[in-house]
Amino acid sequence: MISIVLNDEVVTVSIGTSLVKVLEHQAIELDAVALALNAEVVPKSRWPHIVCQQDDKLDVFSVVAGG
Amino acid sequence: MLRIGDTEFSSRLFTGTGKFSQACDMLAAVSASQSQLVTLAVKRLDLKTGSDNILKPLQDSGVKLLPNTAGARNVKEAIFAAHLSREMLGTNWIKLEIHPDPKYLMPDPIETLAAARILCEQGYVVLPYVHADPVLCRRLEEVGCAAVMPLGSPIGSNQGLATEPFLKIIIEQSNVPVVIDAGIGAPSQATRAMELGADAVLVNTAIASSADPVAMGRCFAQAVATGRTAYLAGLGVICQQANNTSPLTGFLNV
Repeated sequence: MISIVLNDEVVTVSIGTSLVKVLEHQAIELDAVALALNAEVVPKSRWPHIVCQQDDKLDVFSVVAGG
Repeated sequence: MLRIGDTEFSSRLFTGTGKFSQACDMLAAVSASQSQLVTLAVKRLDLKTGSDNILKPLQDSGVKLLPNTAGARNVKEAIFAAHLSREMLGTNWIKLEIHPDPKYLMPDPIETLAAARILCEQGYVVLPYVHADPVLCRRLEEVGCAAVMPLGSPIGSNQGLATEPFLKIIIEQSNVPVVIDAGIGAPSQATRAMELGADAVLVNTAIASSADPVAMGRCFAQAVATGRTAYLAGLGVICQQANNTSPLTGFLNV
């Protein structure tokens, strides 16, 4: 197991867990979010192919109402 | 028809989605306003409460989405926000707003121009929110912005067109659409903006904070359409002296 930081919360995942699996484990709706890994935006097409590393910082964003 | 980038709009009223008490009120007000372009913000997802769930109904309604970079304090953060929203929404349209000062939310012109240049080079359709600065608006046009969005008065202040003399200069000089953004607090002020020759206005607080957002959305739709028609018809010249509208025949001088 490794630990990553997901939106400022420490989360433990299995070694070899892809970004998309992290989101699925959190029941996050995939088509309504964007993802940054260590402050770099990751295109959705890459989510299944990138594997989490120890201490990775993952930030998930969604749209909210705004002017 | 108003054209920005490759998109035509039959409505010249753009609306924000913030500050409504409920999502259903926002959706109903947007519909009543006949707005075809609505703004949204990007925020870090709260894993406990989930998302706002406003995206799907807005997409289903057929309006074009204009994500903003609100919260960005500098070039780097604005570009990051633009990249996030493009990934999330599949749009290269971005309302560029960089306002580090939380009290007055004045847009930072230096950071905005620098970010606009980079985002235009990256293929974004950039609509920058700026102070009513005619020189800055020209510079933003030169770097490739699809429109400029000068403020009437501070965001959410309902003070109306405090910058009117400068908006007139911007409208006169601009070769890209001018969208008056921020501070429009009443339909009459939207009419005034359109009478000046603005291409569109963006309204959020005045509709969202109304006791009846649907009615207010409808009022703004009418106000914007009226102002546009008046502009095209041509306003009368303002004179210091009176000019008689009835013949002065002097027949009463008996």
